[in-house]
Amino acid sequence: MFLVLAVVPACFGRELGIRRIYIKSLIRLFKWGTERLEREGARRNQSIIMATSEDIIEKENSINRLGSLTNCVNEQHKNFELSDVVYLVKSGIEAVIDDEVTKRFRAEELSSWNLLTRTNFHYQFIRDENDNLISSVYGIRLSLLWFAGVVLRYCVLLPLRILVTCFALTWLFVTVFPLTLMADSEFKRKAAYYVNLVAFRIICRGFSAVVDYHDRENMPQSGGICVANHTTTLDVAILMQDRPYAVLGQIHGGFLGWMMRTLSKATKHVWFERSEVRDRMFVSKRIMEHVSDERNFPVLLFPEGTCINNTSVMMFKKGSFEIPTTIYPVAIKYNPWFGDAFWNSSKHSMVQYLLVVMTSWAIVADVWYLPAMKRQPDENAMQFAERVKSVICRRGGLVDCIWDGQLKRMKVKESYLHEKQRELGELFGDDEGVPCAPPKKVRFDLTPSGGETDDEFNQSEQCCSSETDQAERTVLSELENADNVNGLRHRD
Amino acid sequence: MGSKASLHLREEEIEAIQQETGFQSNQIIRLFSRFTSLDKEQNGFLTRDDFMRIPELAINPLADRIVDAFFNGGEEHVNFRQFMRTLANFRPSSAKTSEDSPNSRTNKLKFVFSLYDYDSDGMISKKELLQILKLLVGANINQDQLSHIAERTLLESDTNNDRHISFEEFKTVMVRTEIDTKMSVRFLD
Repeated sequence: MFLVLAVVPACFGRELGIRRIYIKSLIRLFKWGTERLEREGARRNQSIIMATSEDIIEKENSINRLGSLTNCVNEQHKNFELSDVVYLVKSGIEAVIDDEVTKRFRAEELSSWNLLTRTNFHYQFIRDENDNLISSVYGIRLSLLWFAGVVLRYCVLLPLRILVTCFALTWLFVTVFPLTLMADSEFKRKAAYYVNLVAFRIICRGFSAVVDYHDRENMPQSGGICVANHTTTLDVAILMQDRPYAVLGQIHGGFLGWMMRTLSKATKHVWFERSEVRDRMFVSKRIMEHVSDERNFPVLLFPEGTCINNTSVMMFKKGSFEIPTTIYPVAIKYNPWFGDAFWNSSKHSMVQYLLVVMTSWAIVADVWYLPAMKRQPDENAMQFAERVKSVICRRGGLVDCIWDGQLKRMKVKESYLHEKQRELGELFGDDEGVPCAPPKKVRFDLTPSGGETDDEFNQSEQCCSSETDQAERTVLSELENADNVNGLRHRD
Repeated sequence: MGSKASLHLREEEIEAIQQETGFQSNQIIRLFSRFTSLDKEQNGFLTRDDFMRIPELAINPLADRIVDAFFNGGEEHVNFRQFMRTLANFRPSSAKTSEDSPNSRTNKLKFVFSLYDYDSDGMISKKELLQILKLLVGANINQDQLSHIAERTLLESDTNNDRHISFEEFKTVMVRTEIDTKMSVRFLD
């Protein structure tokens, strides 16, 4: 039966190759589809116009939280002049047209169609030989193909995938349970390793994951922390398909909590009570304890704290990097052609998201294991975090973004604005002909005194609490998420 | 996926916007994509909050005035046409640009002028100057000093001594500023 095809290869860590053949056929199909579109267009003397994700403008006046305004606004003169606002105006308009943050929370746009209506491909028009614009009309063959695709995905693949996933979860439980009854031993640990591996391999088959692992000699070892860029909860499955990790999570009550506690007896994860989550020192201590024991699996952390759309890596929270242990960076890049892996938690709930994933063509990803890194004596946690982030970006071909992922839900802190105002105040404050009263410099700093504070596991450095929504509530990313109403409200 | 009529761009609209603003159709489509991505609730229009959600804009001291430029008078919503009209001011201009097109030097200057001119009476008063200065420096310069700076700026520009800066006087002051480059956004094709 189909299940056998899923299970048996998983046990041996081999692939039958069915999924790869499937992917190759899809690629050929997409190429054909694109060529058809272009040929149709050329035949009718039409050129296709569409929105792509390439840059629309070249930014010349960008202001961000780090840069200094003074040398830009006011070049030769020191006193205020009417023309001084022009720099800021252009900067503001550039931000309206294109900014580094809001585009990270929307699915990546494709340059052509992958036969899924859900792809961000609304805006396609054709200009015909009379220079008229018409909405694009796909040829009959392409539409048929699309329809066949719909049938295939919803009626064949979806049920199969749901079946495999349910089976996988049952399998996980069934194979782990005997281990929970055993006492600690070398055998138990080895068994746990393989049981986890097989279970997650089956899970990955549940959404047709085709993953290529690179540089496996750098694979994370026990006694360290693995950090990766975060796109979706499936990141965990994809990584655990290659080797097991210990995850951080919050214990739930009820059946789920019981299940988590039981499974923990076989594989040690790092679970927290709800109350403990707020206590950053405690969290660090627990992780340190876990990491010191060589027999435990490496901890898997996502320092961005939230899901990003896999075009860039946003600010890493420094909490993970303060712990004195080895960091194993991992870069994950999904191929958007076969399905969008990004979980937009404000758009889809978990169930909707899983449904979307299971009705996509496949989830194709590349995983790069990067050489282990340790914090140098002369760098602080933030600098170390930046260093790790840039390594991941370079390897994964992602844009290095300095902004905080929490800006997905929260407003940027006013202190950045006040900082800009302070700079301008200093610039214009020595205006000639003005009496010598020293300018009153007042800092409207919303962060508690002590400068750089909150960016650790849970709190966000760049955001202030306003609307928070509780959409993204997976067990695994809960700790890294700062969108807990209680926690944030009390800070500000 | 929103299926409301206002969320899709019709061909006639693209043509009309092209005529009005001078943007090319691929730029219009691209900017429409941007417009919808800012439109969080998928209403077909943008509110002030939608703009201020952009972090790079929110930390700009002149954010409020820049956002005001998109909204007509006391309105609360900006539709795509108005959005494009405002952005049209920032298209690069050349020697061939006619005076009437939105991206002419005169119209760019008018844009900056209207930033200062809160009550849109065609004149910049000292009070309005003060308001802009306050936006720029916050509380980092005290009221008296700000008043002095505003006074000095007014005296330098107000040639007919009516304690107001008219658009003509404004143009004279800005004659040395390279408005064409400084108020143009570099669009890539």
